[in-house]
Amino acid sequence: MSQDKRATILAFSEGWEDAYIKDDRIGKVYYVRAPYFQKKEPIEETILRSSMAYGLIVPEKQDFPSLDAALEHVKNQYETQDDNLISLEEAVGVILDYAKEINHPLADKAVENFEKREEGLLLSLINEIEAIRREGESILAAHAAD
Amino acid sequence: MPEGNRKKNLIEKVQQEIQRTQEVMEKLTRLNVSETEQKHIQQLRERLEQLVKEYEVLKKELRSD
Repeated sequence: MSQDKRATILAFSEGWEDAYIKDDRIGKVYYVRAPYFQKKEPIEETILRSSMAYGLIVPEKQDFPSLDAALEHVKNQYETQDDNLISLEEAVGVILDYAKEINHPLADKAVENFEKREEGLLLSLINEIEAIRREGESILAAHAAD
Repeated sequence: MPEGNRKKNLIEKVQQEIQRTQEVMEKLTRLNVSETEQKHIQQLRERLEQLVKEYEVLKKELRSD
């Protein structure tokens, strides 16, 4: 089997509804959630390592020939579960809260990384919406000068 | 600034920016524009709607600590 086309499931949540999957071709780790298997969200490796260190994610390391095969496997596993799902933020939030509770040495850093990610998303939204407003204002200004 | 306050401020900024941009879009609807500009404005409007939806999803998922 070609070494450049592999994926690894690094961990499942206890209910199998969440999984961390590494695409070994590009070295990126994805968090996937059952209803959104097509949406592969990159996640900070720091959070992944922290999550596994805290023992809230059950490590079930398995190798698959491709990322799609790994995703399909998670999907099949999920089909027997109920749909009481939590979001990425909630899942990571639970992990980080637990890390703080047990005073894990990496907890503060993991929380900081996660907060930065949230803030980054909000900043990105502000910038994109502002860009739309400015484009709209420039159209208005051009017509005001008519 | 504490992280919670920083996040709260950012959320408020997003909401303000959405409101300001929606006001601009409203003014644009009353403008007599060319077909090309109409298409451009429609694209801006659709993009804004998409971003507002993304914000609503993100807001629900943000941790409330």
